[in-house]
Amino acid sequence: MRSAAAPPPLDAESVRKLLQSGGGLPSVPAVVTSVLTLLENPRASFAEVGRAISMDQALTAKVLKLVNSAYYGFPREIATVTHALILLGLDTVKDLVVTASVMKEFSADSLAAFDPEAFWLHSLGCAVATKAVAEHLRYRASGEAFAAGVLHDIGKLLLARHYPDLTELCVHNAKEERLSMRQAELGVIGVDHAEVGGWLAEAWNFPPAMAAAIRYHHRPLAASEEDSGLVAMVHIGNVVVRRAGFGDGGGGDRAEVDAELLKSKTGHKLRLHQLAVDEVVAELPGRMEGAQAFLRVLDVGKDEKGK
Amino acid sequence: MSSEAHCEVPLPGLPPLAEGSRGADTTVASAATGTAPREAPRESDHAAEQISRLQREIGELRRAFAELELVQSLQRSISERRDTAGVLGQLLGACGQIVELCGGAVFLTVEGSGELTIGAEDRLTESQRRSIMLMAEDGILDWGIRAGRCTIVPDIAGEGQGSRVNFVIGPMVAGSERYGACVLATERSADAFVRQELDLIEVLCGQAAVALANARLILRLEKERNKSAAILQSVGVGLFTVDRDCVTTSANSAAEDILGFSAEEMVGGHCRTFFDRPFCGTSCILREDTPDRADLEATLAHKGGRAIPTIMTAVKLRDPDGRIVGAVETFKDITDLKQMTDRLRHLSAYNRNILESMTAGVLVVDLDFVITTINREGERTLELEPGSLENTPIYDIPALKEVSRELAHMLATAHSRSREELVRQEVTVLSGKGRRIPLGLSTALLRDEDGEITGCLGIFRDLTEIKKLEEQTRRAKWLASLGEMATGVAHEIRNPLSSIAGFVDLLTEELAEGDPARPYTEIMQSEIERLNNLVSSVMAFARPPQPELKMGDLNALLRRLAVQLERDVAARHARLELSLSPTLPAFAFDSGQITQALINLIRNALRAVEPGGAVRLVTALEFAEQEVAAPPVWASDHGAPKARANRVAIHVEDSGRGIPEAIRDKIFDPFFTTDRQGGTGLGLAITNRIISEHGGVINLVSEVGVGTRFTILLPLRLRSEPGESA
Repeated sequence: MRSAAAPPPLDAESVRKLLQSGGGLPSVPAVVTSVLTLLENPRASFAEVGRAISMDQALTAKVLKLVNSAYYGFPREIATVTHALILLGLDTVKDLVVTASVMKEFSADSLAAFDPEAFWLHSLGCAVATKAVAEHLRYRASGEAFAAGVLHDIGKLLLARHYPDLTELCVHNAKEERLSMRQAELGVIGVDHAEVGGWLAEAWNFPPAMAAAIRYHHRPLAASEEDSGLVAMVHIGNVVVRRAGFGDGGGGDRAEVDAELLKSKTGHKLRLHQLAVDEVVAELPGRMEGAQAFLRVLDVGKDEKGK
Repeated sequence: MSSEAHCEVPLPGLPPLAEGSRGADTTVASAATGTAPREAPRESDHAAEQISRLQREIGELRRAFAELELVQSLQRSISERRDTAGVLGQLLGACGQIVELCGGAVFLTVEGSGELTIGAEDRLTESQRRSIMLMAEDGILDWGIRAGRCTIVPDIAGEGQGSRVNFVIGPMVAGSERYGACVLATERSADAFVRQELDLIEVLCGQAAVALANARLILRLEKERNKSAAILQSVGVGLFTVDRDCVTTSANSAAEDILGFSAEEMVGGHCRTFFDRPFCGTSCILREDTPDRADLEATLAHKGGRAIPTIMTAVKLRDPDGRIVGAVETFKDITDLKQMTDRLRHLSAYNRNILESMTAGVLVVDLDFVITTINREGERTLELEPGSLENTPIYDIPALKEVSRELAHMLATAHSRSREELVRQEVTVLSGKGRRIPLGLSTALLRDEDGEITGCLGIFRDLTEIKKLEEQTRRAKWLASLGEMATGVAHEIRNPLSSIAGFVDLLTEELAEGDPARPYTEIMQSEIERLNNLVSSVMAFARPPQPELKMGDLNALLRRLAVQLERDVAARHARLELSLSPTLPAFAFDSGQITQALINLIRNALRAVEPGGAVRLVTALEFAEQEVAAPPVWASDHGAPKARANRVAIHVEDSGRGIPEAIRDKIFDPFFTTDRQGGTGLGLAITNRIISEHGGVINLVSEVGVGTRFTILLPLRLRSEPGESA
């Protein structure tokens, strides 16, 4: 579906219908589903997970490349996926699987509106920041924090794919009038990237908390109480990465943590008032170094598609 | 419990679960095999599904429960053991319940160097051991510890020998400290592992790490405590600590020695026990409002009752929040010190006494010319404020200028002086009141016991009195020799003079009356007469006339004298007044000599007054308490005569021109005269002589332009005694 032909739709419902009916929502890569499901079971053996990953050759290569990278510094060469899984740890593997698959999905797009490298850097930065925030708050489900962070702006890619001109306009407006991307999108397209991302998360059967994190990362208070923890952390992670200046999310406004969030029940539960956002911002460059190994590994995979 | 999902006690009515149920595949669990066939196939399928699902879940729960129990039992057994080897052994045992082990070892990180050493091992074969050591060398163990997660590494080294062993490396990390790693040898393949098992091993290793951390901490604490105790004991002063309530919590061996109590006796008791009297010093230090440290003197009581004087330092003890939790008191027995101090004080006082009792001034300066000592007599002599001199530099005091010069000279030439040399000088200083004082000064060097010079000493005396005496003696001698010479000359003149007189008489007789040469011989006769008188005066002056003391009436003498001198008085157009005391008794004096003396004085007075002026003669009886200083008098070797108490005063006053101060000393000198008409200049000298031979004194008060008063003071002798003199 090409947006140039159709007049711009004006509300969320219409966009959704259009996307759904026209196959605008890509289907989930098989490996993601299998790996994520396996990883939810603590009694899944490494062999099983290894088998699931081995189905995807590109992914396998990435895993091996990562475990043998200088960052991990294992004194011997790792040749089997299973061994790599054991050494990397299943959390890292999950992060890698999710990120690589999603990037692969969108790698064929020619994005005119914004620079893909800047986008992925921002997304990865948000993932790292979200994990950092989770660590600072001693939030236990930090395994999902990374994935949620990487995927939080996935809606932007979808919008860019289907409405490239409008997206360009949004970017332009946001910079000119110092708006957030969300405000620009609502004004121009009628729906924002968080909402769209939320649809994709549902379609891909992501765990509910992760879907909520994507959908509500700009409106953390709208999330349900169960999911509110992860949502809040992604929200703050987004603010952190924007303040630290990694990558570009496209917005022209100043990144601020929702003031209401601090006073809310979630805020109290997470003890947000104890979090020094500036501290996390200051730590980010150090943590990003670790993520660079990730980034390099992911770049290699993209080239196979001949982009 | 093995890691298979095997229930130890099967649920009643249900078969045990089969092996394949471990994986949570989306495929339906094959646990249904073994179930008895049901009657209604559809329903029973559904029910069987449900049942197997429930069985699975129950199995999960059991497993979880068993794992929890495993963790708890490890915790318990670790806490029961304090030794590291025991803890590690327990760890290996617990891990063995999760994974079937064929051997295991635990590596410990050496504190400080970070090296890994084997802390415990269990059933390791040689080749396994070698492989593990290789892994350690390669840094794989380090890697595993740093990764913070359980990892599985195949036995690559042993592969050559067909080893199918895999090593599970569990890091032992507590907080951010790394304590080592647990290495488990198992024949299970890496693939067959499940995350939960690795997680559990991590937990157990973490527990062991915490136990190790605690053990290390306890060891460190004990070392510190022993160190502190050793320090306390070895410290050379007595030390005890008290808590908030003044109860003794510890005491060192020095305290035991000094106080005679043993530490056991002291600890637990109120510290008042060994203070001599109710002593608030300790409770004072425990108060909030006092400074954190106090230095004081306190008297402690020995167990045997003796009082022990001490100097004590008390310091507050605070906890990390700043609250006062007690105090530390250190003390030193100063009994010996006190005795020595007392002795020193006595010695110092004794020395001071000596100094102050001396009748000469004593002055000591140090090498910087600062006055370190000066005694009372010294201050008095110099007429300086008492106490104003000590610790002042000597050159800040003008009165001591000459003295400081002498002392400086002494010090400057110190190297050339012998040890006991005392140098005597005479200097003149300006006293604190501005008086010029002659001082006799003896200076000497002060040396310490090593012979080093530490300062300079000066002993000085006011020489004023001595100098006066010297002056008087000198005058007396001078006058005596003068007298002798005059007598000799007079004698020599007498003979030729009488010869000349005789021939002038003959010559006069030869000459007739009216001869023009007659006036010449008359003049010659009168001049000869004059010369004769002079010679007589000189001889009278030279030969001490012993007064003949006879009882007489002085007033009557003076009246006769006034009559005798009427002509002289009239010639001067002056008046002679008499004021004679009616109570004057008769007393012994030489009337002829006294008359002579008075005549001289009166004649002088008459010469001094203007026409119309008056001369007064006064007699009075005086009762004097003290001696009166005598002006220079003609005296042989008797020393200065002093007027006695109970004496007679004769005043000769005139309202004449007065005697200038400059010549007041000289007027009694023989041959001194201001009379240009050529008196003998012996009048007053003779008067002086006469009075002093009587044992009296003559004083003079005069003011230029106003008048003069001569006062003769004679001792009141109520008996006649010939030749008596003072």
